[in-house]
Amino acid sequence: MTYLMWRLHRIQVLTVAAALVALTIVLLVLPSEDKLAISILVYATIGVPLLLGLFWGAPLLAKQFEDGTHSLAWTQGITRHRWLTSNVAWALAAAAACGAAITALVTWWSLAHISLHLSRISNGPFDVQGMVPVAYAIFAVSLGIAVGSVFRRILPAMAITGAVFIAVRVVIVAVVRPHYLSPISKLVSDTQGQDILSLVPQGSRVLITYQPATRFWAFQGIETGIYLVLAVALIALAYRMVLKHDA
Amino acid sequence: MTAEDAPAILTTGLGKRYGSTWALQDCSLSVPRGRITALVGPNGAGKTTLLKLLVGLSTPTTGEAKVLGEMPQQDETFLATIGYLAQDVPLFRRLSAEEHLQMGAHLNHQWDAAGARERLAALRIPNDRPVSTLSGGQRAQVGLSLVLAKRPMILLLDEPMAALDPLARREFLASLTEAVAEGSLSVVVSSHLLHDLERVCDHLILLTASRPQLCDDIDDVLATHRVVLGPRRKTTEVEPGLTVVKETQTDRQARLLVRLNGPVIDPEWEVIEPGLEDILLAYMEQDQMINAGPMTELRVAR
Repeated sequence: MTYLMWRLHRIQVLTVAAALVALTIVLLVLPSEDKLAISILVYATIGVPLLLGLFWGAPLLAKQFEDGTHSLAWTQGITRHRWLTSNVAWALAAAAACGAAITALVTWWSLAHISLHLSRISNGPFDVQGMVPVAYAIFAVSLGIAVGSVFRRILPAMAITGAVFIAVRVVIVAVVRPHYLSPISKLVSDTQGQDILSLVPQGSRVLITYQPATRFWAFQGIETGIYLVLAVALIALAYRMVLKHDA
Repeated sequence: MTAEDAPAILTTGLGKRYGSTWALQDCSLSVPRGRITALVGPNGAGKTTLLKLLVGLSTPTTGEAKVLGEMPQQDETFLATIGYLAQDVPLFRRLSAEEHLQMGAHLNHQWDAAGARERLAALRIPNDRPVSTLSGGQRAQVGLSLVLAKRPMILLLDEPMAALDPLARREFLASLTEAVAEGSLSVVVSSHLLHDLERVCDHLILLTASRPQLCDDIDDVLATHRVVLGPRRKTTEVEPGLTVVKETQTDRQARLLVRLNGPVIDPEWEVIEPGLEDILLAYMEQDQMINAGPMTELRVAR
């Protein structure tokens, strides 16, 4: 199966590898003062897992079903189970490698640009460094595989994968993430010279609620766990769809 | 019965339902080994369904199938015995014939790549171009070479010639005949037309409306069917030894295609030996008449 997987997907692999190399070169070449350009590039990497889900995950099985080549593969001398395992393992390994490359690039870059490092607990910077990019990539590809195994057509699989991936990401960022750990509340007075206090009358005190930056890795761990659990469930669904249903 | 002398195909009460529609039902067949079987029937009669059940690509709703004594299943031993070519010959479009052969070598324990290369070379099929650039006939030949390279014990081909022009059909059949002549391979080829297969096959399965109508050696099918001509009268008056498959009544004469269960006794009937195609068409038409109830009445009324 390794031969077939490589032969079927080598163009995609080489394309992604070339894109990563290009991104590295751009980050290296851009003048480090050009914060805006670099921020745009870094934030653009948020979309990479989505692209992986759309162009690797969703078509992985759907294309074979659509072209009918699954019945060619399923009547060779290996079982359907082994066929699926090779497909899934290949795609997830590629997704993880790609996610790891992204996070490594961004983390490396953020060390030189302290603002991204300091604000890394904030939505946005949080999503492009640490472990979560790997988890997003694995989740996106698992989602694509599962949807493809259900719908067996490339375009519906891509559309649903895209919609569900964006919905899950938005809901988790907006609704779930703030509650991973109870936020800290603190009364601060103007003596501490916080910017926010210039907006309120002199001498008043303000209650602020926040997640401290020291919780970065705890949050990363929790979010990674959530996405990996979802990915496992989706892969289980794909196995069920492929092994229990007819060609 | 050991697996060695089990029939090539044995099905009992095999049925497959999709939603509320039965694609195949009450299918009990037995095909001896070494036969080249034509699986014929109109479109939608269940040919593809039957083949998919036989190779384990679908699971039956009722009954069971045995192929060479084994239940079709996801098992490397079983998969090694079958060669299956699906309808429209699915291939990986961007891969060349040679890359398909490489793939087969990786996915099968036994693989005769040399033989396949020889076949393709003899047919002058380019080995190194993506198969999407080949003609339909060439793709069908690549597909056939792939299934033969598995060195299967039974070959199941689903309408392999449907999209081919007459010349390509002839070449495909020649290739198939040649391959079969080499060993004790059992073959099932489906088609909605018998014409192509009549010269090649020695056995026949006829499916109409999701049920098997005939499953026999072609010689026996020919031997047990007759056209009888006689004075017009009601079908019920025909000999008890005959089953009427199709009747055509004109003002003066009745023309019946019958299946013989015994000799034709009534000397009033003139007996003719029909061709295979006549017999099969009679069964297919009979089925259409059953499906279209009011038509039958119309014919009787006239």
